[in-house]
Amino acid sequence: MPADLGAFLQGVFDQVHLWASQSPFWSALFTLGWGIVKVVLVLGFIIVNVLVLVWLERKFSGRVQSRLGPMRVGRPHGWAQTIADMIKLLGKEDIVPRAADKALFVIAPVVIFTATMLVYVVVPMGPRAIVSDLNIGVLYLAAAASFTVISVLMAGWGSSSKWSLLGALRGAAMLVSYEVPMVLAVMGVVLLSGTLSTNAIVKSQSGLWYILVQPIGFLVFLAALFAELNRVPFDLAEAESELVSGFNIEYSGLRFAFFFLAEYANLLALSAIAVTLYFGGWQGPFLPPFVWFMLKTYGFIILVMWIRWTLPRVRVDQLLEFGWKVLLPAALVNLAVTGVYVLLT
Amino acid sequence: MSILDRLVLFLPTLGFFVLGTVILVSAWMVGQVRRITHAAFFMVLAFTGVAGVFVLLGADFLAGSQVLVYVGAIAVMFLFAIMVSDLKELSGPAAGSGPGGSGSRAPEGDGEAAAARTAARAWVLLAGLVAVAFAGIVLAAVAKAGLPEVSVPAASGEPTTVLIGRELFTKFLVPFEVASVVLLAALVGAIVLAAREDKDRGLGEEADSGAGAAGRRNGGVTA
Amino acid sequence: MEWNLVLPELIVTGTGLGVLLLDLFLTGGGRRAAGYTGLAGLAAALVAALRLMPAAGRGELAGPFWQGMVVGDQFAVLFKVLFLAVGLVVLMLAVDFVERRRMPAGEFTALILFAVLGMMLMAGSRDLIVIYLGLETTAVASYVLAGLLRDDVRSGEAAIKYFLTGALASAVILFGMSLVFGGLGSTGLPNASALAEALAGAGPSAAPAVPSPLLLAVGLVLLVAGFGFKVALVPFHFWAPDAYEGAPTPVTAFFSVGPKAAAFAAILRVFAPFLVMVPVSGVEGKALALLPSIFAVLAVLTMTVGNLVALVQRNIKRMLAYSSIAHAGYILVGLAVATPRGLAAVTYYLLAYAAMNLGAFAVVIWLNNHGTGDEVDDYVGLSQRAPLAAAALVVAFISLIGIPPTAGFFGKFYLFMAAVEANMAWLAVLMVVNTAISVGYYYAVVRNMYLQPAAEPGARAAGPVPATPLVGTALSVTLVAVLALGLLFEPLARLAGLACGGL
Repeated sequence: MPADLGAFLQGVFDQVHLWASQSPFWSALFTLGWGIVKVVLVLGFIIVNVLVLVWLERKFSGRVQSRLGPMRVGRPHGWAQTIADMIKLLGKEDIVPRAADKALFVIAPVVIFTATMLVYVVVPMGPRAIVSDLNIGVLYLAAAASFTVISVLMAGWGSSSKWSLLGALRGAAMLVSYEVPMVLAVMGVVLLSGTLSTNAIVKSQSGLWYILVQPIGFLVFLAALFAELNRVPFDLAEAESELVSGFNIEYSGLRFAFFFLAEYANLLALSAIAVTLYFGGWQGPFLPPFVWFMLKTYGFIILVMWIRWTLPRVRVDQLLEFGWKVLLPAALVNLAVTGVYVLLT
Repeated sequence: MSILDRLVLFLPTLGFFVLGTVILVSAWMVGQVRRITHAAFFMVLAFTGVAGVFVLLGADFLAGSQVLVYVGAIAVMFLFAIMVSDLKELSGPAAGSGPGGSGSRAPEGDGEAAAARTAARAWVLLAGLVAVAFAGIVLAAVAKAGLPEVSVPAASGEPTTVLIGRELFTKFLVPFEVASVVLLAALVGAIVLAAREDKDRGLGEEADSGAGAAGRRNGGVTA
Repeated sequence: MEWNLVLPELIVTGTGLGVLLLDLFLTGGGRRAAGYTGLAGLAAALVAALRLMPAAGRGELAGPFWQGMVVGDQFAVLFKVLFLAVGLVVLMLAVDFVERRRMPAGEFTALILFAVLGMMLMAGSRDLIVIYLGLETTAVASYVLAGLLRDDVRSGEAAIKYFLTGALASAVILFGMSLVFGGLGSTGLPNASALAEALAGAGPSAAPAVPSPLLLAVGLVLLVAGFGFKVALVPFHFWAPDAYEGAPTPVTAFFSVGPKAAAFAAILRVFAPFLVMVPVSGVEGKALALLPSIFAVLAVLTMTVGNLVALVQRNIKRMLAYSSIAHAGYILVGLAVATPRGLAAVTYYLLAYAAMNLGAFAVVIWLNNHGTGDEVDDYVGLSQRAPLAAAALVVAFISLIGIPPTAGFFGKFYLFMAAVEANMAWLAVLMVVNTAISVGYYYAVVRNMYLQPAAEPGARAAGPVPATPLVGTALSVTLVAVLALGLLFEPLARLAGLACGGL
């Protein structure tokens, strides 16, 4: 039945598309409408998954620390806890500090959420389930991530609070330092697949996942990923014990919700990217591609959470030293070896 | 073709003008806003607008690189430098901006200040006139040139990434290699100018008087 | 053959990278090894370049290589030899200075090498992109070199001023280059014969070879302004005195000849075809025909202002800075006359100027190494304290003024003749008047050295001032060159003419 439904929808879509392509106006309108549908789908996907992820993280951390985690709101196992929290958050008073740089303070959450949304454009969830298969996909990812840094700086500066500023500066230093090895590590995959398009990278992994041929590249990517996600052991931008909450400390209510949403949406997106680049994306036997994609992504997310709740936080100087003196050379060596290999084969 | 169709075909042109306005206005604001952080953020907007123009031209690789390099690296470095600097020092005397403006605060020399302001205004006017005249000449030259219309992705239909890569490593190999030397020289230079003195090559006795003091003098920042 | 042509560049680049690596393992007094390695590399590159000279002398070198990005003609080889020699002399002058003032030796050497590489690329390409990148390599290295005396505020000021004006100049040059690209339809510049063909065939109507001469002309005017900043022509010169005064003295010596000669080489490469081409009809042709007049105006302004302001300078580095501005004005005369002979005179003058200016700076550095200050008054009674240094400075100044039998005389004479031949005698007369003015400030120093008695003994750093082997060698080389370039005027002028013939 699902297969029939899919074929039916495909047929309807093709008919509408064919009809619309008769004139530029209707074609443009069709593109616009289809774009809106995609955005709504992606937004829904993000929100549902973030609700699940927040709950998952609380349960997981509870188990790691021999606790139960939320149990009361919603049975079994407090499944409605996040929803309740969300409602509470939206009902809170929206405070803009008097000393704040109002314009930056207000724009920052919007920028960070938009930047996160942009990443989803090139996440392939199935052979055709991708918003837009850009042929500069990987470069696009790195470019979209740039706006995250900008928004962190906006929020940190705009709040006019020393904790936010320290958090933002730490975050920016970290992101800039770790973006370089990350991009270099990913270039190993790009060299092997010969394309920047994310969907084509997944397709080229039908035989062998790239984690098996690029183990060093993957480890570098993984380390940089933690910096990119602001997670322990690299969560210096929001280090609770030092900076209270870091760059987003002055935010409350709806605006804070944006940061919160963006943080988990980013976790999901980057995990999906990791799966795409190193674990064969949606490819897999028997089950439908989307199911494989979700299974792998959630598996990777659990790995990330496991690390977060197990390791301690590093110091700023250790973090930067590790980035420039270990990750960067490792990524360069990996890229050089991969280049030679590609040249020879 | 209906009027609606024409409207749709006009969209890319419209997009160009919208982006152009965004770029020009934000570039103008970079020089106009009083807060230096805002200037940096307006610069981000201008850079992003340029990337948008590249997208309209079909130069997707260039657009991605533009954002990655200018927004992700250069603008962030600017912001970083601004935020770790002493802002009181940066803002300087309040009316110090503009040519000849710094001397105009002295209360006793009213006549002098007025003269300085007039002179400054005259210079601004002259600069404006020269700029307008020059822009006119350049625009006239461009209009008269009748430059050929070239779309960025060639007719072969290959992605621009492939084309750029091929050109970069064949035709433009020499410039590519030289560019790496430029960057290396800049890197070495930046480090040698910014790095704190170590004991071995320190400033003689000063280096022994404590690294902390030397660091503060050099405006060193530990963050 | 191709690889031989770029062998000097490859050696210099390799040495620069090697010095940076080597520097990691050097400590204390061993840091001089970085300078010695740099010297060895430059010497090897110079040998590689000189090996090309016989072929260049026969006019056998030609042809663009690597998709037109590298040109290996006589012009390129001649200038590469000049730049490598300049780099060699500057580095010789610098090794002691760098050690004494505790500058980072490895970085200093590497940056000098990179700057020399950029200069060679500027002379060795006919493509705007490579010329710009060469310019930028030199400029970036220069900004840093100017600021390497980190315990001296004036050094930082010099670096900042040089950087800000340099960045502005780069922006203007890039804008100009983009318009030239639009006008020509290519980043590759034509040489004179190709351009003449293209323009003659073009006319006002169908013009496939040069799409837009007007755009070209606007772009070239911008390039004049941009390069004007780089060589410190008069409306664009204001940064030079401060940068020259504040920078470490060997670096000042380098600035006054190296990047300046390289920028002039680039100017010759870019403008020569448009200066010596056959006149074109129409508005566009007229716009292009304005170029020599622009150069003439700039020449008059530059030499007059440079010389007049030099008269009142009390600091010898500042004085030499204005003197260097004035010399750029003389050189421009060769471009203003817009004949092949004028271009050849420019080339010859650059060689002569490099030798004599480096000679003057060698003496300043030598004395500075022994504690003599940089003010003109510090040179009082020098003939008693350091007769050799005083004599050497006199030789350099004689050449800078342009008195026979030195290279300076022949250089000026060549420019003078070119101007007269091109019916621009008024320009030649102005040049002579300016030379007369320049005697004033050179003589002030000489008078201090020889005619003023030394002030009370012990007030200034007294005692003999022995030259170290490196500084001594460098000074001797430059003084010999000042005389030899004069004596070898005939063959060198022929070579310069040959080199400029291919532009």
